[in-house]
Amino acid sequence: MAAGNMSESNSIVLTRAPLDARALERLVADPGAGAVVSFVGLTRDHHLGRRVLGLEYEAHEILAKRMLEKLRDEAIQRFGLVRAAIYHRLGRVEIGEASVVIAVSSAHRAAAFDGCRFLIDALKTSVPIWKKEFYADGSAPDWVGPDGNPVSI
Amino acid sequence: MIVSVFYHAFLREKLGRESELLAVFGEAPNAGAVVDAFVSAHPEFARLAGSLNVAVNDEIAGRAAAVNEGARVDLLPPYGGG
Repeated sequence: MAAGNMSESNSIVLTRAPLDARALERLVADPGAGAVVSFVGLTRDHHLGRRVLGLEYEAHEILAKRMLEKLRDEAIQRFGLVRAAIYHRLGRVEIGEASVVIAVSSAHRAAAFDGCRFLIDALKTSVPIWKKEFYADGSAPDWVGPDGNPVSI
Repeated sequence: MIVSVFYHAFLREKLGRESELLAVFGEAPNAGAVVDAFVSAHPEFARLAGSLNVAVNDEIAGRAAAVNEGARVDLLPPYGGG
């Protein structure tokens, strides 16, 4: 029942391998949790009117893992979650693949919805992960910021 | 004082390098002074400077955070995870 039951080492992962949302849902499941909510972020084939061929993610890995652990702990505390897990892809991600999966569990559904929403919103603004988009029209790839606009000088 | 500055993603690509040594001036240099030194060396990034996050020795740091001789400073462009 306590959040500490799940090994901390497998609840935050940055990986080059495909993500499995069902596996994350099982990871956070608990006899004391009546609700599991998961969010899956998929790579889209268009952005700002341009066709996207694929994406690449990179991170400051030490810092990103530490920030994600901090956010996980904050979400567990603030929303009274039982468990929370966050997996994010690095490297090349093909269109339609999951770039991020977040799963949280709680005794009742409201906390799980709120905690999951908090985590994806906070991830986008405060975790040092970067996304590079490659376009079909042959234009130079862009690094895309948290507002969805290309980062520029 | 000399610090090692590391660049990521957009910054690394635009600069064409992963890191460099920058001279930082002042009596009690802080993260903000490192950003200033970066802009002095690369004025084309002046507009972006305000939206950079800074990590000092692998900890996210405010502009007032102290930076010591030999520190590792990472300049982090706007994030794009998710």
